[in-house]
Amino acid sequence: MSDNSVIFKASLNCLTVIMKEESDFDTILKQVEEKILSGGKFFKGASLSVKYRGKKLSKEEERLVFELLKNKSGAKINNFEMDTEEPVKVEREITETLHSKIRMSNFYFKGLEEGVSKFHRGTIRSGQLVKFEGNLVVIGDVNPGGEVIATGNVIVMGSLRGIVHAGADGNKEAIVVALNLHPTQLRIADVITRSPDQKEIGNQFIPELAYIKDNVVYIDRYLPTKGL
Amino acid sequence: MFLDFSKLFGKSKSSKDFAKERLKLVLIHDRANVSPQFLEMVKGEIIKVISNYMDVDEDSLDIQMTRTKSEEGDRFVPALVANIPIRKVKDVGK
Amino acid sequence: MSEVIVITSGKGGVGKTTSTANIGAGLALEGKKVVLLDTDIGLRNLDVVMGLENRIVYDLVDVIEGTCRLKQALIKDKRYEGLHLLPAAQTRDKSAVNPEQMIKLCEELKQDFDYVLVDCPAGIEQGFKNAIAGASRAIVVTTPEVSAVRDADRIIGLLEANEVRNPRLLINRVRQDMVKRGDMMTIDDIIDILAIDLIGVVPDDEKIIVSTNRGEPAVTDNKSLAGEAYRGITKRIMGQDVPIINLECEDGFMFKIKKLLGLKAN
Repeated sequence: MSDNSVIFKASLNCLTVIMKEESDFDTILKQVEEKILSGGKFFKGASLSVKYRGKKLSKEEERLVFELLKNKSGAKINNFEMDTEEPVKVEREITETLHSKIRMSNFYFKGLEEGVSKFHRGTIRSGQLVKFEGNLVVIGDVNPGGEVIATGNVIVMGSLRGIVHAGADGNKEAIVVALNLHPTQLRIADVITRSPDQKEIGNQFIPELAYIKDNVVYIDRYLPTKGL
Repeated sequence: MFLDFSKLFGKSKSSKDFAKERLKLVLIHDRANVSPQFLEMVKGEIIKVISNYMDVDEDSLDIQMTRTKSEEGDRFVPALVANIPIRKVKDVGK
Repeated sequence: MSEVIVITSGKGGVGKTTSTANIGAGLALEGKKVVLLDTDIGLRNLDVVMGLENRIVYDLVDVIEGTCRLKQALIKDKRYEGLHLLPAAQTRDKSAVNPEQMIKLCEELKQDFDYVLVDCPAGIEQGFKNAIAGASRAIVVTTPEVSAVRDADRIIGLLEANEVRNPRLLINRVRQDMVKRGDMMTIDDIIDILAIDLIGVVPDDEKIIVSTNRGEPAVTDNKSLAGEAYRGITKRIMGQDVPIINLECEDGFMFKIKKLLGLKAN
């Protein structure tokens, strides 16, 4: 990804491929393929209209990219054509009005089942921030003042007493699981909760699971038998 | 009770007086931004000048920064106090 | 006329944050609109002392970097009307903010609040420079210890060099029993050395630790000596002329006890 000749931009049912004008066609073709493959099964089953911007392609080149997309992505590609519309800045405005900490986008991380994951070993102490685009597993504790943020699920194999944010770019399906779930604050997508003011300081270690339903955070005792 | 006895029998300074004295001294240095090296330099120069005129006991020479009441007497000002024992006045200046 | 007051000390652990919380709550009790500004980026604590740590979403750095609007970052206190907190960032460091940005922020806060109390980090580096940048008044907190008084002296010098005029002194954790024994510098000793005006004297009080444990400022506790001292300081900040707390009243109490025990008190 050192040379970004190709950028994928997605909106609902539409994918825009932005290609650098100064890059040659072979590089572009190679990077398009890399991008699709790095997306894994992301595109599978989708039905997409694809437009491109930036570099002008010949009919033959257009056909080559179209074939590549069709064969590698697993998505149904309806058409592939040059985007003649003026670049719209809507997306930018949205990210600016909605502030970056709780950023919601239609193009959020969807790899809750099989997406990339990071394993963090060790305690996350006050002032430390562990952030990951994907699922995050902490093998250790998260102390008060520490922060864990992931665009996917967050699993803490220890005590979670700091701030946790799962589904940070908008996935409301994301969950938080901890062996001891006592976060200062818990966020999933754009829903924020905090522990009640009257803290019951229990020493019992009960694994719990947090998820959202109808924009409310629910915390359940984690029971493996429930098959969640 | 302890304080009564210490007041009656012990004429020694209480610890807070030590604290105050030490603080005053430290602050004079802090405020004037003078280091012990600086004082040594001053000391050396003074000895050099004075020994042209008189014979002084260099070992028991004592020089330090302290504070003294200003002439109006309303506040303290830093002062350089030197205690220079003289052995003999030389003839040169006469 | 709103004011920006920085609470600073140089030395750590003398009670800046506790004093900020108590004075802030005290001013709010007097019906003022107050915002507490924690500038100790990376080592924030005012939020836990206030018991508001679990409400933080945005912080000072977010406001300064434009990640959020000022209003979004202000946390309303759960007990006192008119009291707000702008927390410091915890996962950043002091270099995330510069003095010019602090001046701008203080000016903005002055529009909405009667008092902006700035809780300053220990030390005299970047964090200190940020904290004093927007302030027009200063309260220097010290304890009757040589190290704290020496650092307070340094801070007073730096405040004057940075045009924060007439800093006032808050002497914290005074133990009258030790003062009587001659094992603690008296208020007069410290003022003699530092030569600035006193804003108040706060006795060493276990209740401060208890109230910090609970996340509730002691200023509201009518039975707490420290609380009473902070109430006096609050009034003096507002310009009222109230006598400095008489620590001898504690003596009076001791006197009564001694009398009860049948001991002769001198």
